Amino acid sequence: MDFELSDELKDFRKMVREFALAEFTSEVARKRDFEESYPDDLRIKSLQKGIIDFANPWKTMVAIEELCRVDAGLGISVTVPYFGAEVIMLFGNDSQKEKYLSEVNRGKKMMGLAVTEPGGGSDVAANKTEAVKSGNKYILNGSKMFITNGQIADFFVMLARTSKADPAKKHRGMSTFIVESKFKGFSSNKLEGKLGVRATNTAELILNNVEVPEENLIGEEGKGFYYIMTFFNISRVFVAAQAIGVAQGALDRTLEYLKNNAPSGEMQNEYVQFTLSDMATRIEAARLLMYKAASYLFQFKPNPTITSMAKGYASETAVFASEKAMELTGLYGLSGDLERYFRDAKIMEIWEGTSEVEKLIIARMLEKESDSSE
Amino acid sequence: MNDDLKLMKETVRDFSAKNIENIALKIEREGIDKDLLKKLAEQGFLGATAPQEYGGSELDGASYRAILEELSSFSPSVGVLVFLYNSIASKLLKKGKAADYLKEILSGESTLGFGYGEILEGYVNSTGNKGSDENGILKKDVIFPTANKFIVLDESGQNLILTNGKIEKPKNKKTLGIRGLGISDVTIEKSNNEKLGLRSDIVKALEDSSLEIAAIYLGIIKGALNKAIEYAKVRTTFDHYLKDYSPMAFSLSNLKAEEELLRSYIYESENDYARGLNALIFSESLSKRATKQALQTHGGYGYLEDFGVEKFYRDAMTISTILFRGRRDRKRLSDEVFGTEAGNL
Ligand SMILES: Cc1cc2nc3c(=O)[nH]c(=O)nc-3n(C[C@H](O)[C@H](O)[C@H](O)COP(=O)(O)OP(=O)(O)OC[C@H]3O[C@@H](n4cnc5c(N)ncnc54)[C@H](O)[C@@H]3O)c2cc1C
Repeated sequence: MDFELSDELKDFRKMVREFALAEFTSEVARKRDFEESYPDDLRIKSLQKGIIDFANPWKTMVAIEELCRVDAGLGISVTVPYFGAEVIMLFGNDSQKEKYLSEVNRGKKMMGLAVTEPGGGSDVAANKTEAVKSGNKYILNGSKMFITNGQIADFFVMLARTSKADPAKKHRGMSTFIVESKFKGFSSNKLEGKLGVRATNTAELILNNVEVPEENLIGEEGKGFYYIMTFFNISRVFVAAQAIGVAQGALDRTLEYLKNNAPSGEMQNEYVQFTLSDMATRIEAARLLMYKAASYLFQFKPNPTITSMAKGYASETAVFASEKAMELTGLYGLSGDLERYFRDAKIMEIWEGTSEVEKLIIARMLEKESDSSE
Repeated sequence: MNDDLKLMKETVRDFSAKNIENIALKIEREGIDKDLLKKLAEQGFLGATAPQEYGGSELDGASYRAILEELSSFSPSVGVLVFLYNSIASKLLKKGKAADYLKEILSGESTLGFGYGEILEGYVNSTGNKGSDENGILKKDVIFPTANKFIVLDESGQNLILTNGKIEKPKNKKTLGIRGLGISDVTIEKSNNEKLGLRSDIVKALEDSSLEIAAIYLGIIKGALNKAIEYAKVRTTFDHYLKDYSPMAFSLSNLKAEEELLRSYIYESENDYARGLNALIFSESLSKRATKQALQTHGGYGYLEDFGVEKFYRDAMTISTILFRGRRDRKRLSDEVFGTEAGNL
């Protein structure tokens, strides 16, 4: 058991941190947050800098953490153009990978993952968007809600129902498609007024008789639910990284205030000291859980229990740390950059499986695992 | 709760349902407008406890707290404004031109902002004077920066003055909470000001207002939880209403129980420093927990301003920074509990 990252990863972490500190200035972060506008310039810069290296998931995880540590809105914005790529990577065919993924990897295109619907996000099997086969096409009708990159992505990995729901086994009969935003009948409405991560783009997607060529079906018909759950088992590790970044950043900035801006003697107060210790301990615990989940996952032995624990606990830690940071910094935090952490942190408990959904998964797995150990 | 108080609460609730609910989002985006100020004045809410000679209503403490609770449950910004006018301004604007100005703000004609940052944190020397030139002095973190006049500290940092000023438009930044009022920097005029008293007067006014601040929190808690409870009754996941899941039901109903206890405590206390502190410390923590759960209950929708829940989450934290003074208030409570200086290390 070795708790150290390799020297290569350590150097990489340092490089990403320097990039984030140089590019994610308070001014840029505030502007994007205020305007709710996507920082395309930073996406391109981070790509040129080699911040995103898809061939190496450890690097991706470390990069997400370091970027979000400086600013979550910007950090997520530059790492999210690839959101959903693993579905195509794992289950797509070569021509889909060539046509769609390679473009994304080169920064020429952006993608998104469209699962959630207005009627429900936690209950994926209750999806209503329909895909009806007609000749060599599928006709899609329905709508998708809260879709990241919804207005700016070139295509989406989308979940839709290909056969009528069997009430007892609703997760069957769903399939995943690659849906281009330029397909006829596709439209999107930007969702404005988010609490946080406002640099990211979020939209509602409307599908009105959208014709999707059959070669855009990913994998097999009817296996969509399984593909999406497999994807979440991967992406949740990366959400943990986002959350730990936010938590660590909130701690960094609190310490910076206490050392440089607070009335003298603040650091000597035990209430302050105990709060800082709590924040740091939880962050460390969350990071260890994430490393464990990542270690299983990146060796192709995913462990959904640990992954859900990591995602759930890291999210709670982000909310906790950003709250405590506000308490310790008072008006400084309120009028400065820390209040943004407080707003950004809350999304972690909602997207890619709410904290409640993570708990359901953990309990279900505990039950299963205890069966198999008997 | 006696019948008068019930009636008062109902009146404020009806007023808010009619005049605030439909513009709650607009208040968040554009601020409290003159029209609403006038209506609040006409109802006598704006000057709830102020003397009648200045246009106030001279209501008793419980009625005042009822107004704060009900208004805050629709828009915490409006609750905070009424609080600042009654619990702070009315106690400071007592003589001469200042008293005339109290009349103007209580009628909704004019508005009053508060140089809170420097008054509370006492950081006048580090930042407050930095922007000083022949035209004016830059004041940091002023509540209601679009107001016509302001209560701020003079250059000595000890005296409170009433003065004219102009907002420094914040660049690319909204305040975390109480957006109906806003918090930003203001350049005040050096001349033309009225002396009001000492910095310690405003600190004392605030420290004597624990129950009232708790009433604002109570409104926030109620507003947030009621929305969540209504939502949990209609939203389904996995073929069941959210209310049917035990963690959801237990958590919301536990919070509701705490809300009820807080409410009876707040309305049963009067002019009692220690009880005020108890209510303040308890309500601050409850407001954070309740607003967080309310947002979470709404899932993704909770994260969007249209649904009117996230504002409670922002406002609870903001008010705990500007009206609740964290460690200082906890220390005040400790001093009470131990009957001597405590909790200073
Ligand atoms: C900014 C943003 C970006 C997003 N990006 C994407 C994206 O790119 N792609 C995408 O597909 N989706 C995206 N989402 C959607 C997100 O994943 C969902 O909001 C989330 O899954 C929750 O779904 P919901 O909002 O429908 O809440 P609901 O499922 O309606 O849940 C409401 C509340 O009930 C709780 N709950 C539900 N079931 C239970 C139960 N059985 N027991 C106890 N509690 C329960 C939930 O935890 C939650 O607190 C995004 C959301 C936001 C806000």
